[in-house]
Amino acid sequence: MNLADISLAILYTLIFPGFLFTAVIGLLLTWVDRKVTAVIQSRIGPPWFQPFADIGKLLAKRMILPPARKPLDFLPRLCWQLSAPPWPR
Amino acid sequence: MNALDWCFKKSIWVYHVNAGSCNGCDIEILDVLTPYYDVERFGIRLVHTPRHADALLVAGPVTRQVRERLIRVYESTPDPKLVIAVGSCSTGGGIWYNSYATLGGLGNVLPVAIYIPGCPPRPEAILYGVAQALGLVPKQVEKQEFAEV
Repeated sequence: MNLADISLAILYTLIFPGFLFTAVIGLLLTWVDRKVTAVIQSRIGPPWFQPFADIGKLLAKRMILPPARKPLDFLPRLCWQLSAPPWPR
Repeated sequence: MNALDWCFKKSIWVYHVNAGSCNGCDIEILDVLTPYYDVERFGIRLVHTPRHADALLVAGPVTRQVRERLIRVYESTPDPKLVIAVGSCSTGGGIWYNSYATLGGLGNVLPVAIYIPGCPPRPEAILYGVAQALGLVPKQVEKQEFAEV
């Protein structure tokens, strides 16, 4: 396995069929869903950058954490989620 | 303009709070959210918890019973946030301005970004008020104050 293979694997994972491409295309498809709904209802609907504006706004919001939290508080939820994998068994 | 400020102005999620309203303003707020007015083209959405909200649309004179809950709703809304007073009652108490059961308007309880008077305000007025609170459209009237003699 040489350097070109490794960099190609990283490219596949992070950029093209990987995280970045799926994130952008997924957000654009939610916009298509909302726009089609709007056209069916005879209205204009959101602009194409609406999901990206939502993400940017949510990143800028201040985080609120409950005051009595502990690091292990989320452990039961994690165990429950891992016990129910999304693939068939 | 900062990119995150731009995102905030393009994507405002509102939470509707009834602070002792007679349901008239609530019905007008629901009117704004119908396909006829299409607030989704401005990125405005109704959310069902104050944890997701950017703007609180508060209708009604703040009754004594609801004051504590209103402050809890305000504190559970993450910053940056806007408080918008919808209707005559939340603007100045309306016809209950000197009642023992109300606190005479939202301005006595929370820091209000904009007041939308009217009993109830028209859906266009609510939409214009939200857009004005975001700085998208200019102000049309000056502030006036009246004293009781």
